[in-house]
Amino acid sequence: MTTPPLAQFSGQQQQQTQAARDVNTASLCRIGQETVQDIVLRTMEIFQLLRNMQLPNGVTYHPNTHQDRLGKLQEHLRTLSVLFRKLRLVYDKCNENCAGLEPIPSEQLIPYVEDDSSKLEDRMANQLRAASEERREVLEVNKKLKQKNQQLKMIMDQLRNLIWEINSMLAVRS
Amino acid sequence: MASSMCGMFPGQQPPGSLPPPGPGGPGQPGLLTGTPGNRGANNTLVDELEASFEACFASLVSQDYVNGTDQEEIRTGVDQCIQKFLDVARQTECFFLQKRLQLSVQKPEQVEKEDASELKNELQRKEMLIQKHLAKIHHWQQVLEDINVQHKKPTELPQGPLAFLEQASANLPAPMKPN
Repeated sequence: MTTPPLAQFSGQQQQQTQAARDVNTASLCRIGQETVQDIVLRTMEIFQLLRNMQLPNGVTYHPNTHQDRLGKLQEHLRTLSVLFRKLRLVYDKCNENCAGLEPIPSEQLIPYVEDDSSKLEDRMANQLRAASEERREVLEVNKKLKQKNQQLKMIMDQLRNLIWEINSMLAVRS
Repeated sequence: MASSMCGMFPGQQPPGSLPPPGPGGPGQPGLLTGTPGNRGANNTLVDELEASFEACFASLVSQDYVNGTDQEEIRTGVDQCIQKFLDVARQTECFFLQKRLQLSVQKPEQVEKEDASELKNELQRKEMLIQKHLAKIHHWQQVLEDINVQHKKPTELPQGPLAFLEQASANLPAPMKPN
């Protein structure tokens, strides 16, 4: 039953799974969430197009308008087909990557202010060493970003001075 | 009526080319997989989403409404299909959010790595913006030098442009040093 569709897209799926293997799982969850939102938005656009379509009654029929709307409808459906395939790949990859995680109830995962976090302290002690390196990298990149922002501000000030000088020259000339 | 509906079916073939394994026969997959309680290993959230998506359009092209022209019945059916589609989409989105929440606690290095990659992309975008502004400054400097050359002939304002160019050239080396 499922063999013919898989055979048709085997090459494409291999490429996508190869690319998905290197992608971060947290990024995969965000990509999946955005794909679902995109699917819902495009479905609503399809219904909007259908609502605005005039049934062929022989009076107000325009071939150009009809072809334009038909093209838009087919484009939306084609994109939705791609999005569903992408969502299936992301979903399977997320399940595969999160299979090793222990099923903790969602209430315990939310960090509270009053909570002393003793429940997760032992569990997080193992991941703290790995996360500290990533956090140090984040702080380092943040520092570079601030330098870039200061550099941008300096360039903007120079541009502003340049424009002011040009306006002064024009005023002196006239 | 029939032409627009027939035109819709060929467009719907691409999502139908991956039919979910329905429990019934080869009928309409949207109507046959309408079991909300069945969330076992065979029926994943994506399969349910795809089935409810096809059900939204199946209700529009269904032959059950040809005989009876009850407006309320058609409206109720369409509303139920769309509501089910939105509910399954919301469940799928919740699934991804819960996975991300679990990862943020059990594998925090992945979330930090994602933040680091986003910041690096931001850094590259700032770098491109800086290069664009520097090129703009150089362009305007050339324009001003050309104006200065033209002004040398009448020699009406010999000091104004020169003082400005000296000031501009003095300010320019500053952004190069932090690199």
